[in-house]
Amino acid sequence: MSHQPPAVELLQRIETGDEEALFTLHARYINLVYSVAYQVLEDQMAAEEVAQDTFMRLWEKAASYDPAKGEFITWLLTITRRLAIDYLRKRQRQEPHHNTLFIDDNPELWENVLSTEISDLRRSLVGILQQLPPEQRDAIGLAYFYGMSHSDIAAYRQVPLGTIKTRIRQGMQKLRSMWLSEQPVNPNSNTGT
Amino acid sequence: MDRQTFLDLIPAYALGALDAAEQAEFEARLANDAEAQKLLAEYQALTQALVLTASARPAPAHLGADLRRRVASSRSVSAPASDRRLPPPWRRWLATAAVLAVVFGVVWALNRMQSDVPAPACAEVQTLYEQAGSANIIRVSVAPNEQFADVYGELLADPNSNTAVIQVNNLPPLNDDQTFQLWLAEPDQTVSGGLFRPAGETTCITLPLQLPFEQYNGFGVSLEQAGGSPDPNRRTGPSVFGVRLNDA
Repeated sequence: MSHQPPAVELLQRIETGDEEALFTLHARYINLVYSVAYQVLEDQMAAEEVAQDTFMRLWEKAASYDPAKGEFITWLLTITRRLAIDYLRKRQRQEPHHNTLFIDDNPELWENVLSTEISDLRRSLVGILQQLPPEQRDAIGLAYFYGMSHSDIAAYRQVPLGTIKTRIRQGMQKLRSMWLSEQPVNPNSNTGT
Repeated sequence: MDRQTFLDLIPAYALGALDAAEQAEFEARLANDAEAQKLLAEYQALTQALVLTASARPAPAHLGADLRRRVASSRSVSAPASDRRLPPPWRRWLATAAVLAVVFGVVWALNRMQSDVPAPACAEVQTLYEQAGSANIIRVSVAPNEQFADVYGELLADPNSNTAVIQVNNLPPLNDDQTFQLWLAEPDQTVSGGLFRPAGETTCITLPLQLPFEQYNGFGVSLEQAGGSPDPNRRTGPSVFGVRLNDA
């Protein structure tokens, strides 16, 4: 089995200007980065642009990753999510076209790339989300993947503001409770993925 | 807000779901509340992991090659490795335009030898066709001002790579105290795209797009005094030509 250098090592090489290290990370993670971008934007061209912007951001700011603050893959995908939401806001659209939140299609695309531990964490989180009442899961997804505020979601779903606040609060509290009871390890630890 | 209300907002804050006014008040209280900060850290760890729940889909195969081109392009105008911050967009555009002017000047001179050979496309236009394929290129003719009726050309754009070039012919000659200025009509304002001088019979202008191409209402070029229009958002001199995209 060939040695795959860990992401942290590739980042250190990127800091020295090693382009091949960037392209290696790109080949390894582009599916996941594109997936997050597409989840938010629901548009191939826009998702491609944001996905590539993510790696250009990595190229320019590899030194800003701090392993003490969490896994590389969640850091990278958080960059993607933020870029995608910014892109949505510039286009003045923050509402999804389709209901694709938390649908676990093509899980192998995740699991082929993630460490066993992160893959287990992901599967666990997907399972917990499926246990939430649909309206709570929906409100959480709209806030998280589309950058919608309480008021935005209330207007979009045409329900009272207080209802949305309750859905998000109760949904997140349940999510946290179930997640903490299932996770034996510190979710902020870095496993070098 | 009372303390319970404040604590109840922690999960939504971690999600980024607070409205602006709520967020300001929340953050003011958070700064002095260690217990709330600890609880927030737990919710933030959870929300960071939520990104892993996006529905997976395979990325288009061409993105690898695209990234190589982007990195190569940034390398050609970038600062030394010790300072990898990109120069302002207008400076990158000027650098590119200067290179194009030299390249085109050589190619134009060679092609003059064959009078029946049409004016060659500039390197940027050729690259557009190579990257996007002719079927995917958007083409819009330029509309000259009456005063410059001999000007003709077209805009060519590839929305996929958010790249656009205006290839224009017969720009009027400039005096030493004159310049052309490019304008980009964004949804809410017009911004300058930089100054340039004609490169010969055909001039190619790479548009410094800061927004997705489809958001622009159009582009234009005006004739200005040296240094450009004193108004950064409006031409002062006459319009030379325009390219209209959307009916604003």
